Amino acid sequence: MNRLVLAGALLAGACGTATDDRPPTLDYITETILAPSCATAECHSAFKRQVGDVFDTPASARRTIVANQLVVYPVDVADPAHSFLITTLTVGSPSILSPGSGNVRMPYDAPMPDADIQLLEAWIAGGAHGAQCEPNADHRGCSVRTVAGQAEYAVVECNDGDVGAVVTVCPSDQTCQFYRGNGTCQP
Amino acid sequence: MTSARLAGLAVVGLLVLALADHRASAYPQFQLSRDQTCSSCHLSPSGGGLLGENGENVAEAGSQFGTAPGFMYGKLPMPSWLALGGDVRGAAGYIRTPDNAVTGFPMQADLYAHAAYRGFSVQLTAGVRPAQWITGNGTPGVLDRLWSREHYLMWQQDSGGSNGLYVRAGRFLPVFGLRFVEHPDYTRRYGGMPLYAETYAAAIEYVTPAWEAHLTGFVEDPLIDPVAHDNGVAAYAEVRPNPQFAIGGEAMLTTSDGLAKVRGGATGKRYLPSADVLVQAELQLVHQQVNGRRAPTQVVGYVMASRSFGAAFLLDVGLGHYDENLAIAGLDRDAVDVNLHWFVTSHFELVLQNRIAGIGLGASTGGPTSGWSLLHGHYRL
Repeated sequence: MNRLVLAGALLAGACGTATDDRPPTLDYITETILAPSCATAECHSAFKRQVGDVFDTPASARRTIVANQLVVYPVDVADPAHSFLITTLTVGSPSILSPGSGNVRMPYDAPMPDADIQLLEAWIAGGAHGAQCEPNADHRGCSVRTVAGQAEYAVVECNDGDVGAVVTVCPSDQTCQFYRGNGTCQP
Repeated sequence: MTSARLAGLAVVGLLVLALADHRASAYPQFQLSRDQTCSSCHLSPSGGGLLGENGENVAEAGSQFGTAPGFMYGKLPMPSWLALGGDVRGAAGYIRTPDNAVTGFPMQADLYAHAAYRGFSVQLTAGVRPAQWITGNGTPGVLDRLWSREHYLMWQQDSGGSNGLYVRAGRFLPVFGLRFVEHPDYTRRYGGMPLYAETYAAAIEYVTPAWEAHLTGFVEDPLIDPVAHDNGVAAYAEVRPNPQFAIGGEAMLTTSDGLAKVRGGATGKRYLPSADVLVQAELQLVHQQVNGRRAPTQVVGYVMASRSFGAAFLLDVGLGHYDENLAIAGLDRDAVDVNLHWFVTSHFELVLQNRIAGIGLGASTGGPTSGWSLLHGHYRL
């Protein structure tokens, strides 16, 4: 047992020294940063979907980032530090659960390492590949669909050069409008 | 009487029971100091949930004010084939992660039922779940707040006993590692056993005072949006060369949506009777692949020392370490937990939970220091 405790203590003191060569891709940052830090049971897992954000898989992270404007392509590419995603991690953003109560910084249960935030910024600065939303001449970005027997509903249908369509169904009291270049659900 | 009034009375009844003073269930912190196996106190071969007769006796003997330890204080006699119970938990206090906040939240409200016939049994856990977010901060319906966290069919070789072969299938938490109750402990939070990781699984398990082994195969829950999306297999074995010492090994392989993980590790437990201290530790190495490409190798560890004192107090001091990437500086976390349990009655427990955590200790990069101090109340039906 003493040896086990000693091994633990030694590992606790060990730190890497290599240059941060992690790939700034949506798949990588979701699986190694966003999912373990944010997709916890009571927060942004598919189980809870707190404030509509889900980060447990690359597909859900893509949908969340596009639909909830956490990174707005192409605007935020030039200034990642001021994207909603990064400001929420660094200085906080207005609480959605308790409007008017001030800013809330994420993750709520344990801060994120600076190096992880820098990798997220590098992904945005590199073009936010995997979570772009580019309207084109076919009005991709906003459209209206119908389901048999139901009312029409608006959808955000974005085209990402890397991964194809990201489809978000707007709530019945919202329509799809272009906002800072993205098609988004708006009241 | 309408169903709404019945539900209302049930809620009021639970609140009254929660406010009445009467102790809480056992923990891994009691293993070796009280008995060798989890199944000696719990009906489940891996611990947690309903207590057996021995567990109830431990609950009574270790509490400040005693009280009848059985379900509903024994006022509601149960036939021998049926066991009922429940747990209600909530917490409130101060957190700094890194912003300061005063917070309070419910943690658990579960009812348990266990029906046995000879060597066969059915276990059901039903209760309240956190409802999924509804767009516009809407209000979920009652049914959106209910679920069954565990339900499984089990066969055990030693009918009515606590040793031997167990086989079970259904929805439960795969058996792996030290299995602390406190889910923020790093070997649970980052060690493959997060909160609500229960899923559909089948397990074959063997438990004796001298050793135990558990092999669990599991799949992503196909019925709800789950917390864990893993398919895989978990193995855990523990050998106890003497009643005060245990050493274990563990392995888990999981795959999910482009992510593959292999976890391997060891556990150790040593009870020091002279000091009445149990020290237990778990250390895991984690190898990952994202879309077939090598991703960071990680290490997760936790060491906890527990000591009972006074008539009904238990002090835990834990050290957690999690390095999300062994190759890069500033990505490791360390936490110190100090938890003080007071077993007020056989059914009611108060826990003062405290943590201070840092990122990248000793490195030029890191992150904010964080922590919390929470008072946690736990009532066992």
